[in-house]
Amino acid sequence: MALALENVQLLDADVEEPNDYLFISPEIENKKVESVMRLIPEVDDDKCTACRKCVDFCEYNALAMMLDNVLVFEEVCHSCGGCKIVCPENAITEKEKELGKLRHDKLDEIDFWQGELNTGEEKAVPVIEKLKTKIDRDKKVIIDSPPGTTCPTIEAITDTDFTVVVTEPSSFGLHDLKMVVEMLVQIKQPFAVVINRAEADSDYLIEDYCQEEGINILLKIPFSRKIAELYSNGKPFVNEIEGWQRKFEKLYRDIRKEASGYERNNSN
Amino acid sequence: MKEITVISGKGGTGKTTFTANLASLLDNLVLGDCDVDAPNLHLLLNPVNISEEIHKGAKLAVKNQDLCIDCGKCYDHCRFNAITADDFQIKNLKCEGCGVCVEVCPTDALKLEAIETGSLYQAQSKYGDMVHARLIPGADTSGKLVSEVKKKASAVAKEKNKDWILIDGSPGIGCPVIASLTGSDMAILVTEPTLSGFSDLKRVIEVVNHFKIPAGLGINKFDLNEKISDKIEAYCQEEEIELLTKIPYSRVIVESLKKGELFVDNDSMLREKMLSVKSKLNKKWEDG
Amino acid sequence: MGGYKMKIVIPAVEDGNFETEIHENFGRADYFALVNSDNDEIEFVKNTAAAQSSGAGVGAAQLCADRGADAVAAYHFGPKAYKALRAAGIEVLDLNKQNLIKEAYNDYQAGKLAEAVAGPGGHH
Repeated sequence: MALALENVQLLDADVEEPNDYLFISPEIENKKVESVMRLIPEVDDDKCTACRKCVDFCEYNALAMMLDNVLVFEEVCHSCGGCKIVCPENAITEKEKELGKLRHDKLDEIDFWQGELNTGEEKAVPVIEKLKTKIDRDKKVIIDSPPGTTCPTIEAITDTDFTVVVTEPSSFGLHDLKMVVEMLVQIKQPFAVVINRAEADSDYLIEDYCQEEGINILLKIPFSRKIAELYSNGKPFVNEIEGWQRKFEKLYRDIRKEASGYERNNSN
Repeated sequence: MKEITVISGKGGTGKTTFTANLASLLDNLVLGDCDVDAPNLHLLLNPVNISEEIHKGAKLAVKNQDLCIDCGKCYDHCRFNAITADDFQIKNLKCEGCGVCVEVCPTDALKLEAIETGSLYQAQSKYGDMVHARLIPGADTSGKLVSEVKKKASAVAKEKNKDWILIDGSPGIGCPVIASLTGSDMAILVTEPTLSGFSDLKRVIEVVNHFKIPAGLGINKFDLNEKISDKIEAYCQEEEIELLTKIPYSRVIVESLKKGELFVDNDSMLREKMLSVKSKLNKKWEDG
Repeated sequence: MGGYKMKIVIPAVEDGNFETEIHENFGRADYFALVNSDNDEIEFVKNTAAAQSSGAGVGAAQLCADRGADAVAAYHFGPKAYKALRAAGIEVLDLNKQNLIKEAYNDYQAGKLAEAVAGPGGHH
């Protein structure tokens, strides 16, 4: 969709496995980088009296006391700052550690930002939060969210105008769609569905469910070997197959309509 | 009794479909669905749940409004934006259960409470006993729930003298995958011939190698991109990973999935392919 | 390493005895068997770290250190557990074919257990 529109900003928030660059900016590794930092505790051994208050406080087992030395396990530390607070000797300070990176490439019509979680790190949410600070509402902003229903997904879609849920017409697709819808309803997020790998004889799986729940289906991308082959080679099909440019432009207009309709219905 | 874990690195490669179809051909088995984030195995195997255990995998801060004096210290110290600025209420979806607000509250109005984050099910399916689990939206996966699925599956296998434990592993390479793999006798890697699939496969092979677990390879939709498929085969050969099967892009698989059916029941060529996987597995332990 | 008082820890599936099966995990083991090598006395302690969502390996290592372990033997150590145990000066030993606590203990007494290496993390 990003490639079909003008004056677009695309943010890849799937920070554990960002893949959009394959289609948008294959040379992204060489582009500008910005660090995303987080805070890790550092213990001053001279001040530490081995009282264990910090070890006992930490809910994540990020601290351990071995031979009267405090060990810090950065990977499971949530950067909550609690150990620093509970230390009676002020022996704990915090140092910055790189959690992830933001990469940026400005193409003709697309302002592309990629969020990446560093290998070895677990907490995706702060990287996504930093990515979202780059949002430029003068452009059409599209966020590629991580899959599933966990915290990073929720962070990616919070405070946005609309969510498009991409699903496929199979029992797996329907099952996962229901989980995602449950989450979206819980956070009161406006949304609609796009069916990928659509086929005449199985779309009913998704269509029936959406009809029951009053969910709109905005687009169907057909099951197509050609699309799959292009994908496997990192080629976006919107550029290669006739007619899709228009379809995605229309999708965008429909999303705008849905989003403003939702606003009107909910602003009273 | 042998334990086999099916993993993929990247999600969406057909790991669960592969696992379900293989399961239908193995005798005397117990299944474990360790993909607790998005469990799908039950959709193909239709188990009937016998028991449910509530899983409490996280803690949240809980406030006693009567004790609150609206000082806002909790809000000042919270690093996760989990406390509202106006009336100091906890935002459950943001709260990470760190305990800082509990610590700084001058009136002890806050405490941490364990909350239900999912459920663990013991079930019966047409093909054997099955253990599976589900996480609620917003809950984060940890190795813990996966470990519990494995533990229960092992217990059932011992109790009922099963020959096979077949685990549908978690996607990715994190703690849940490691928890899926621990103690397994073999890993089956299911991949697809795409750039992203290959790159994730390499990462998961690193994990498997460290555990010194023998591995086998299944390439799904191999004819979608034979160039990449060949590269994957060559790479695995170097890593001494046995090629178990190559499955072509097939309408039958798509149709079967749509109907919630197993493709081995609908196509004899595909059935043969999966039977050859089974015989390779049997042979592996015959030879020792 | 026999001859003087050493405490060795082996992960166990239940609170039992020398015939109890070894648990396949370290961090998420249900119990730990603690054996005194000078008098062959065995006691079992519940692994409270197993119930925690994260850092179970670290918590388990802390428990072993707090109980005065000199050596820990297991099938597999995650990198955090390994780091924690080594920082406490605890010997980290590899199990492979042993099934029961007594087998691991006998191999330990006979000096047959090799030093373990850290496993892959969830986070590499």
